[in-house]
Amino acid sequence: MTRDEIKQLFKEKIVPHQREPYHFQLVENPDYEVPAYNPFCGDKYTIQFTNEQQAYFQGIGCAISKASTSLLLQRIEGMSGAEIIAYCQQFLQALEEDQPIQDEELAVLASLKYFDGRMDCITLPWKALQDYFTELAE
Amino acid sequence: MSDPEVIKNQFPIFSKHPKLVYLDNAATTQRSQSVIDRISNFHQQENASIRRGAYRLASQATQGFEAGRAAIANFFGASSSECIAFTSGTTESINIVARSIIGPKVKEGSNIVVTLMEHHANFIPWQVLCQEKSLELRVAPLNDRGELDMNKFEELIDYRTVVVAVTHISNTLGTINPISEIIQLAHRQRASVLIDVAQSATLYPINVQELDCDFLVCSAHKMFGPFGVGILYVNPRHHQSVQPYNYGGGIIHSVTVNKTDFLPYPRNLEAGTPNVAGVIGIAEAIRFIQTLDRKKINQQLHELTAYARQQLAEIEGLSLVGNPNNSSSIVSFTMDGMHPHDISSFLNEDNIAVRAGQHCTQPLLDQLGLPATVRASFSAYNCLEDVDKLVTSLREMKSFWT
Repeated sequence: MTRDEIKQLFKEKIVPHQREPYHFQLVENPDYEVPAYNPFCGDKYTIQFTNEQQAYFQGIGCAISKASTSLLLQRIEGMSGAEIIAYCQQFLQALEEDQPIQDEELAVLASLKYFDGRMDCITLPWKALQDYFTELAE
Repeated sequence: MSDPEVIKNQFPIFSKHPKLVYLDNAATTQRSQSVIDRISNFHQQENASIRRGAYRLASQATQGFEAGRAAIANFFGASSSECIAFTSGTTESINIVARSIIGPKVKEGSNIVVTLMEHHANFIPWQVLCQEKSLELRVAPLNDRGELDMNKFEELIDYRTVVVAVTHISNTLGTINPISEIIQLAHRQRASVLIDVAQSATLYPINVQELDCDFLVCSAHKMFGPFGVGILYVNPRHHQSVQPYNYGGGIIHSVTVNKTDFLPYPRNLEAGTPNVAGVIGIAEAIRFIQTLDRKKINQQLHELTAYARQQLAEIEGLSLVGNPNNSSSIVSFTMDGMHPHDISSFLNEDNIAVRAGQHCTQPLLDQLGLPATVRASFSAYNCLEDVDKLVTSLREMKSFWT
């Protein structure tokens, strides 16, 4: 992929998630509430799960971290904690090892690592959920 | 030497990256060829540890290191070389003042005055000291333009103030603070003053004796010099109060099994083998700076920054952060609907290097209600064309995103 192609994909697939992120609101009395915070850049989200198996989030951050959270939440609603851990692990590993990603939108998300210094923006919510549910299971 | 193009030719990074528009000078400046060569020569031809080596290389390295101290003292107008200690950077210099000079003598109920625009390096050491010693941390507020409110500042300093710690230039807003006035206000209440000149040491003439500051701190890497070398100036009236910071070799007068007597300041702060190549590098950087017509460069940078502020303000949806009357060559801004990190990634696609984030000034950004800003900071090798490239790239980005 050329850099212009990545920029175009960014515009088509990522920017819409930044403008209208999935379930970008907080609810009362969530079952789980997970902070996703990167102290080095200040990106900070709260991710919530309700007992109706819905996921919500809100907070402040860049287009990449916001789109990443939006895409992630769309995909994990209804999953158990163990399933969320496995799903996050799989994506993070594919991202790390440059493995092909079947999910077209996630493949675009992964391609954004070619923007210098933005890996943490992609991985922020994935690592936060993985760590949270891993700790919860222990 | 004052022509940006001529100066730029002295910096090899721009030959390696001819398209690079480097606007991150507040984070670190580039290194001149002379500095790189001097450090390289030291490693290739002169390397030896300093002090107790009775052989030629060690003796020459010691002389080079001490000549560096003298060059720094001279550059800042200090009364003697013995006023200058070498540290690892501005951060360590400030921690030393907090821990080894102010900390040991403060009394409960005293206060320390800082400002809301301080870098974390000149904020957290004081905050922690206040918590440990039950002191009050007083934070001087800013006005709407991003300048210190001097009336309120004056009210905060009283007879129980032990130290006023303030930056000369805000690394986020570009505000130049009236340090002479601040030093006078503090001294009227018998408070000591630390001036952080990390952002100003290179291009603004600073004379510690004229200022009569108590402590002055900066880093070599923002002065065309290497990473890992910091400068600490301590006014002679405080030399006796300086206690060691790290314990180890090189700082002792005598050691027995039961007790150690230490050398006086500045040697009692330089435990362990110091960064000899780094000190020789900053001395060379000072020599380089002294070839620059700083008055003329400052005038050029003043015009360049005014032009940048005016051009940026014309971009719809762009907001400048801070609008100080007396401003240095640092400009912060935000754009509607675009996060600063995304802006800096897209500028990078056009070979423009800026910084995005909180710039280690989280209390300031919290006050401004901003999660982050984009910061462009200029130095002696930047020209109007660099500003035009920044503005063009931002305009194209805006039309691409919307």
